[in-house]
Amino acid sequence: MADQANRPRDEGRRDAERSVGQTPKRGREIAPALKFRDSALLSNDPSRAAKPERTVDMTAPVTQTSKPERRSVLNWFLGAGVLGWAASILYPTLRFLRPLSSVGTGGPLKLSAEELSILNKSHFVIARSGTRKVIVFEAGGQLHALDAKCTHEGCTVQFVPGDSLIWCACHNGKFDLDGRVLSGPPPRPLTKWVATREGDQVTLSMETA
Amino acid sequence: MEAQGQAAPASTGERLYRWLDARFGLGKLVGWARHKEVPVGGHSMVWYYLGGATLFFFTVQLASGVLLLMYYQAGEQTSYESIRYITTKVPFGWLIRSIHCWSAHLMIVSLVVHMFSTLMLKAYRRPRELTWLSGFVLFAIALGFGFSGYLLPWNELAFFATAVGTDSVKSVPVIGQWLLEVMRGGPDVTINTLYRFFALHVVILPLVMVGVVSTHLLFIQVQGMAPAMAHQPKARPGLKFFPDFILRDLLLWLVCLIALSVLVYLLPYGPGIPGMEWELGKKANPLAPAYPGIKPEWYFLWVYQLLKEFPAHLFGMEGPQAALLVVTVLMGIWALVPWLDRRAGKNQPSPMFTDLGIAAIVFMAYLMLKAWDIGGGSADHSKLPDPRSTAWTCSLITLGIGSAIALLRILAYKQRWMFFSGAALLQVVLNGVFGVDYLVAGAIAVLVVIAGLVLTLRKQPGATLEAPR
Repeated sequence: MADQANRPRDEGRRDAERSVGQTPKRGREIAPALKFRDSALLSNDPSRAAKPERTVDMTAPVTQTSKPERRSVLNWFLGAGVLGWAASILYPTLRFLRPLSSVGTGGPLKLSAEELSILNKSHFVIARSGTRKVIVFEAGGQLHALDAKCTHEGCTVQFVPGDSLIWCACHNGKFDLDGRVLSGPPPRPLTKWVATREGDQVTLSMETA
Repeated sequence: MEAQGQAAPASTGERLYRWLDARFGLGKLVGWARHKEVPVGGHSMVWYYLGGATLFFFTVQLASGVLLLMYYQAGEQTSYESIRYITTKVPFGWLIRSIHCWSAHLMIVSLVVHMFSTLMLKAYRRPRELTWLSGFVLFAIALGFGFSGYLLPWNELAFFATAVGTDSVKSVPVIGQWLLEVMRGGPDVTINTLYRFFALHVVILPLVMVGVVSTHLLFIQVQGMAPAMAHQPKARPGLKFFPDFILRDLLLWLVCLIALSVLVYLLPYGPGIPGMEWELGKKANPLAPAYPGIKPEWYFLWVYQLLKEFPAHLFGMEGPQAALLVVTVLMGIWALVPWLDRRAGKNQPSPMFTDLGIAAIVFMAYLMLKAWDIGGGSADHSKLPDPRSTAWTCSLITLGIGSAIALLRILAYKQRWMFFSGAALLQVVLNGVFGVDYLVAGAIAVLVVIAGLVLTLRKQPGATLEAPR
């Protein structure tokens, strides 16, 4: 745009003269005016095609003066408007897509009677504490509890009583009874929980450092 | 078209054609189609029909998917139950579901073969780079279809496959956690995840797929099908696109339909291969542990196995993060092949990229076989598969496949450039036969390739990587 504005006035005129009888290729600013005239020149009507000079005289001076600057400002506003419009659609959409954060219970968790019965039958049970899953298992007469979500790819782990280990079937990750990685690809240990039995009740709470 | 003299009266079809032609100028379109030709010679015509076969299976997917939608109800208490209702109570419900599942797998098969044939024939070369890229996008969308559709029955397999697949997303730097929650509709896989996947599977992906397929077809129609390369045998006169090629294409569609019908009738729940079966099984229970032998769909198996092969930490990254970085880089290279292969762009032989395709086959075949635990122990998962014997058996099978391909290339096609496929086989042998760690074996193979290429260039100054003198 700026280049167009700085060009000498007669160069614009030459452009326009060259463009008589053909669609202009340079100088976007003169294009609309010339297009209209060109359509007359290119038409089959010889009486209309015989007046090319008037077209050139009318359009050439206009091209090189104030129009480019005004147009660039308008283009800038148009661009900013489109961006603002896109942002006003995108932002609420992205906020809408992200779910509200759900908060865990925070306090200690008591196993239900059903969960206790599964624990006694299968040697382990998986309970939910807020958004987290905890595996509770009995080994060597002691009650243990660990995060049930494998640290590798998030599968739910299980207790293998025969081998006294915690195993993730998805990618063969193995942890010891304290949640430390024994083998396989899990990058971190499982978080330890405190499981306490009082009479018929089992309570789980986060281990404090 | 004007009737003259004693001409017979126009049939209804002809009159309809004239009516439409007067309004839409169909004559121009038919004239253009009649002049369009499909190149013949240089290589087999078979490869030109695979895109059409993929399109056929996609059409079947749309039709059978709409029918399933008449009964399927997304919801914690309804997803599993409605699929069970479809397969057990609705007349021919089992048939429609089986068609949908079989066609999904066959679509991926034909798409993969189509993609590899395009690579081998260098049909991606200038000026068809964007056709390759749009095809790559279609491949990614097809995988997205498979992944999102997997969860909809809300059974155990669906639950854990989605848990693993979506968990990988958290490895993406900066926006990983945000992306994970947006995909899942929360921090964990819940029924909210199913709602999102349902919307993705039945609305978003079909719309995008139709748009990209149209673009892909437009590119092919405008540019025509890629002719054989300059060094291949001279092309004979082309085959007329309309009606000759179209009729052959329709004949293949008929063959595909018959094959699909036979498979659906004989194996309504799939061939029983892990990653290619769709028995409904048990309903998803978020509080149940993952069961032994759980596998993703067959086309994700190589990524699944790669996640197993990576250690807990590598170069300061967590294992899954590093594994997915490798997958992303490999996929990026694959997408950019038309721009990387400069020799094909100049219509010259580019054996390096033919070999890249073979290396990709060897690389993925070994990982897939390992993921199936072939040779690792009991098939009923009563005990854990032995990774050493699995690696041993799978390496021998892959070595057999790789050697057969190499022999075929040498004897039938006189090809000699085998640095990449040789490296892929070296990794297989080191890992499977000698028990070297998978990544260490890979690093050794890469070093051997680099050393081989450098030595070749030093011995023969003036030679290029692809065409040593």
